[in-house]
Amino acid sequence: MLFGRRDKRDAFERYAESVFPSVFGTALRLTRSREEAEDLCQEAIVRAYEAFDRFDGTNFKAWLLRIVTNLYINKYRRQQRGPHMGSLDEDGAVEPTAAETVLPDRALFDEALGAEVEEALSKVPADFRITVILSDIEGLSYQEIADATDVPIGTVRSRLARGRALLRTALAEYAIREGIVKEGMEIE
Amino acid sequence: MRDVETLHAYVDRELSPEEKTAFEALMSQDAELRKQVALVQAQKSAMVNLNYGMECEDAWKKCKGRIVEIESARRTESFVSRYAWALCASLILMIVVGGGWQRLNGNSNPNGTAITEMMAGFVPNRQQTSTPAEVQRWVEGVFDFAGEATRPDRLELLAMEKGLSGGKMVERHWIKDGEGQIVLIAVEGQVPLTGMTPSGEDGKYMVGHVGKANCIGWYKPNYTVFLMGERPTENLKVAAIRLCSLIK
Repeated sequence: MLFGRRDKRDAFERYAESVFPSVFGTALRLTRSREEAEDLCQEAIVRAYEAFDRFDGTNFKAWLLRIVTNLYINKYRRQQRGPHMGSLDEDGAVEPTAAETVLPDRALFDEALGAEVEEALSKVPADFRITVILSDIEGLSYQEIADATDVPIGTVRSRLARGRALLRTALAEYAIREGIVKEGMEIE
Repeated sequence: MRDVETLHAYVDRELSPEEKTAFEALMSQDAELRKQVALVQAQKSAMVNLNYGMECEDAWKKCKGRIVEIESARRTESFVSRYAWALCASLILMIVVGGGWQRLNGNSNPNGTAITEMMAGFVPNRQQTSTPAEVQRWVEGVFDFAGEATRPDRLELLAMEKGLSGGKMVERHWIKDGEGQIVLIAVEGQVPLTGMTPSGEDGKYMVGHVGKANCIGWYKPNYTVFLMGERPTENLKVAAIRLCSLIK
């Protein structure tokens, strides 16, 4: 029994250590505070360890990110008790790029440094940010994101479209501010 | 077909083969759509680049520490729950052994009830031999008045009674010294010191208690002496030694 537990712990630590940078990065992008991210990660790791017997063995990273995301949604957002950050009309989310006067082109993404993208990402409301992070940074499938955020796949699709559009808008503001593009100019 | 969510699903490879084929057909005829797909792909690539190795060694160490704490707590909990009966049994055994050891080494509180019964004939009762409860009440009443302080080196006789009890001569002396009041009872003959245990290496003095009062007893050639007082047994022994030098 003792050896079995030790084996379980070793296995869990091996799994968790391999995906921890992703978990911590996600926690940091969600909370935007290193201290809160560490707390969130610790709580998630404890929960995951206690539930490790129920892990189905398929995708540990997705499973752990699901725990982190759920914890963030349930705990941290409840603590804030502020206005709902994802109150934009999700179901009717419309791709805004066609209507924007300033469109960042792909060169902007090629030139933008990680820090700028991170900054732009931090400006995206939480629900959309979570979806974009899980999809574009962590590479989770729509189904895995739906499981992690406890919403239907249709909502994931709309949040992703809307979130990416919001991120582009934020990046465009950055580009104008930094003189990469001029205001009102359409970028090809 | 040209809706935004499908565009993103195409970039994310989340379309079914049929949907993908249909979307690519649409894309081949629509330059604007191709441009938008390229834009989303570029954005997605830029985001993937954010998945760099983030400095998180300290955070991981803290998480590992929590796992160690959990395991430690579980081990303790498991041990206690598994061996709770053994722990309880050990505790009871320790109490029993400790009690027995104390009794065997003479440091126990001797059986007060046995002593009060043994002394039933020696305390005042005009009708007949006193009951243990009367003995207890009498002893407690004796020490209710302390009187005035006296010099530490002086023994003062406050009162004295003398008479027969059960055919034996009994004398009771109320004595006061520097520490308060004591009662000395002398009974003719060798009375069995029931309920009392030997004190000290020589075993000359037997000790016990009646209620809150400590009691020591010892034999003189023709009678048995009891000394009682609300003070430690050792102090009673000191007083007894002083009295022995005075009792003929």
